[in-house]
Amino acid sequence: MIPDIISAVLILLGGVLSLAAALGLLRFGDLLSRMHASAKPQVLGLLLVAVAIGIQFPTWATVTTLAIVISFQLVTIPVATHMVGRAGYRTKHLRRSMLYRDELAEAVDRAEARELAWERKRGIGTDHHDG
Amino acid sequence: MSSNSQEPNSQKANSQRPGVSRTTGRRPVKNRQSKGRGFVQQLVLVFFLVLLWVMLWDSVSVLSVLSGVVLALLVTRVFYLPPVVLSGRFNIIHAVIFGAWFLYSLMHASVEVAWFAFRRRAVGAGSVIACDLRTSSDLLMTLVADTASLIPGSIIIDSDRALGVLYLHVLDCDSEEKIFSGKAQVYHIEELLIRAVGSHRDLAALRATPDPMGLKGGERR
Repeated sequence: MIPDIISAVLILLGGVLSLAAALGLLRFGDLLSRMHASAKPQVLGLLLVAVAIGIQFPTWATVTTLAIVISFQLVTIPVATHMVGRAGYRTKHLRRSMLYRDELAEAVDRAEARELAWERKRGIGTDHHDG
Repeated sequence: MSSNSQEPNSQKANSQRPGVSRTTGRRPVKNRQSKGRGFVQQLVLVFFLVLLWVMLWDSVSVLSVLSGVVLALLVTRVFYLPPVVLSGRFNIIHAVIFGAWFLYSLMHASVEVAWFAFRRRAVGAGSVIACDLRTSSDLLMTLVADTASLIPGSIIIDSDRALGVLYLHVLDCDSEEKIFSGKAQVYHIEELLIRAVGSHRDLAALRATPDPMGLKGGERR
């Protein structure tokens, strides 16, 4: 009886968190913020549902499979988020108004300035080198 | 994930300042000791692949373990990846501290982002911050990036492997204090991870700059 109640509560919480992820995807203003919504609430949601399943079927086989499911979630979600976020940033699919500060753009600018200065110093792009 | 990402300015920075390249520690050294160590690392990899295989089969039998070993060897040969350089250090107490902190932060993050989604007011502007990590190992950089992606308000956007810099997007970050706390959190993750699995070199780097925020101010590159 008590395990049933606990797992029911856990599944409900997991469902609410997954709903929050969906709502966040709809409501957040730009791509990068939406990535947060897709990455975070539903990890805990899945974890809670998995714990609930583990309580209901406490066999070794189920628990190991759940452990695999969760660990692959934890490993793959950051990679997926990273890939989408990076691709979005590089293809300039971002709203500047939704960024307060962008230190990556500053770093890219600095690197480009350095590159230009270095090429000038080496004389690349001038007739000097072709002799 | 950070190991094979090519940040736009990493190569430029590399070609310009070859002495600063942090890749030197990872070059394979051809002597017996490192060969033996490489073998041990292969064994660890194969062991975890076999463990995964057995867990998928839900039963520990001679057949499942043997087929797992064969498959693991096959997989590590066919899908050859650059060897993951383990640090050779593992502190169980700090690993437990990290695990507990991670679980707490995961819950905190999920509830926080869920609250942002449910609340009436729309979420504010974010920021992309740069974090100059103290560690120089690929493994630790990846772990820090993974952890930062899963816990409150930050996802990884890009990384500069040569210089050891991570670029993260912080949700709802529209003031200097929030940027500061976002950075402090990433450095905190790094510190916890170095104490748990970092190499002695990383530990030395940690001791050399215990307070990267105060020293760097976030702007120095």
